[in-house]
Amino acid sequence: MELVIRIAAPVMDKLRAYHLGSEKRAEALSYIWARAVATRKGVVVLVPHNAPLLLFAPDCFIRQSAGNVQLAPDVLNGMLVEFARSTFNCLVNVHDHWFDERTRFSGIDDADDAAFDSYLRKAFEPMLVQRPEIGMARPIFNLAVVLARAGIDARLVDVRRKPRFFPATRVSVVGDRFERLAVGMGATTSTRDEIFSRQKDFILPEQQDALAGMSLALVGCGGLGCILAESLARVGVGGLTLIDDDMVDTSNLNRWQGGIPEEVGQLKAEALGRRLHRMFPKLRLHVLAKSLFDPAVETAVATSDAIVAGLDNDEARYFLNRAAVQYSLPYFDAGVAVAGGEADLDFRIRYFAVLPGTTACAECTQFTLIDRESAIEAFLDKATAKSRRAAGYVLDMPQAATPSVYALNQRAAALLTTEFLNWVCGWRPTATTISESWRDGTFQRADRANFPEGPDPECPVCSYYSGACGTEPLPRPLAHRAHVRELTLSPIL
Amino acid sequence: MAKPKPIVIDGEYREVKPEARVIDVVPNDVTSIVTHDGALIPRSEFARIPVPAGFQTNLSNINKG
Repeated sequence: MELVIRIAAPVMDKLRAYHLGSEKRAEALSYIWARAVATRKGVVVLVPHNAPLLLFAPDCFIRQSAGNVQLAPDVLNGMLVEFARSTFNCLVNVHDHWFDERTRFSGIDDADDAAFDSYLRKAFEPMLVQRPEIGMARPIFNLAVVLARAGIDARLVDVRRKPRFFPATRVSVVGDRFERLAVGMGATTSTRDEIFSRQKDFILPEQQDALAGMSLALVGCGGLGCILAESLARVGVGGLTLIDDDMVDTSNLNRWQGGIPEEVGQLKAEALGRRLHRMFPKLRLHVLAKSLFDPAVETAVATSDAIVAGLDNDEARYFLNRAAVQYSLPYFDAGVAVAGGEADLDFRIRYFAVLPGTTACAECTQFTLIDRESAIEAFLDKATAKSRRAAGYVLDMPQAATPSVYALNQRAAALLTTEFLNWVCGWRPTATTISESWRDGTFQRADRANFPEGPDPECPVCSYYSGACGTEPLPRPLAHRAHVRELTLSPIL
Repeated sequence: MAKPKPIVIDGEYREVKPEARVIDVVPNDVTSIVTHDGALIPRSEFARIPVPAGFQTNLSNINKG
């Protein structure tokens, strides 16, 4: 069982300024209202960019010293009254060990967290059940966090269970760059594999370790996805969940990297998984030969570190954009197209990235990345969706046979992999949108320096759905809506 | 060096930096503005970061994988 915590960078920036500022000489306490979701794999806590964050002024504390802090009872009560009225199900208390580089909870923290949790379980939760006018009855996830200068410790607290504390497994900051926080005092695992010796001068050891610790949801295992999978594994990504319910067809073999005639008729995700296992025996593989809209896929995506997609339809992108924002997951996507005819043939590539809470999403960016109308049509009508997926690569000529698509997919996969590595390693500002035209010789790269577009405050996805996790259903085609909800809001520790 | 841009807000002539956006030069409490040709621009739009000049913005048809 894992406890995965994702914090949007704008919130983490405020927490660091408040708790770890250079003038800091006394411990402080803050609260965040967040959302948590329990899955069969554990618990995911999400702190989106617009999560209510309560940073208290010094006069809110009745005691504040270098190593101790206590909030005034009326301030704490006021905060709890407001929290009760909200729909958030996770109350996060944050304090700091500002004097430590790395840290862990102290014995005093254990006693304080247990005492506060006893109040939540014996008084607060029953009160919500007995007096609905105070707030919606719901189980509360009680998350305690302690910040240090170069690390964090975090745990769910529930005094009804043994053990009372459920420690965090992974804590990530979702922003312009990948950031995995060092949890507790344990040594970080190190990947010193000879395979990566030729890239060590540009991908530093700690970045190689970060790649090894990552689990990515790879959506689409077709012409582009199979190259992406191998590219990501080859640079050292440690875990891949392969998601695709399609089967290998003879006509795929002109572009399905590594494909052999014997694999025709097999599920793409399974065949690709077997091939990857032979190439990379240490790779953590999870194969989901299911529709993207299957609830099991939502669980797998929710517990991954990022989404990487090589898709052939916009309804899947529409779904993934919402999944990325609801689960605070970075989402990297590439696509290709062929345009023109013999006289003006063009090969085009497009890449985009959504970094929830930091960038605009695919709905509110000023770039048009998804044909929304077309996606909604496909959501409503299964036959339309099927014919669009069966269409070829040539724009406005769905029946046309396409030249050199393997090479085009290689270019798109190389572009996405490079930008993904850049997000991890920080060689230059992270790209949010790239387009390339082979005929025109154009390469247009919008990144966080030349186009620092943030979430539109009026975007319903980036505002209302941000960090909503499983509390709001993801947008599924009509044919997939009668699904059984596997996600639950109840703690199942 | 680029010359300052002349603008008129509520009849008052001003010069602003050439790279200034609408949101940089209108008062904070304005929720929308009407341009000289009658177009209404809501604040959310004029607060936006401009797309780099010359970039193709409609990429929705490059969607195969």
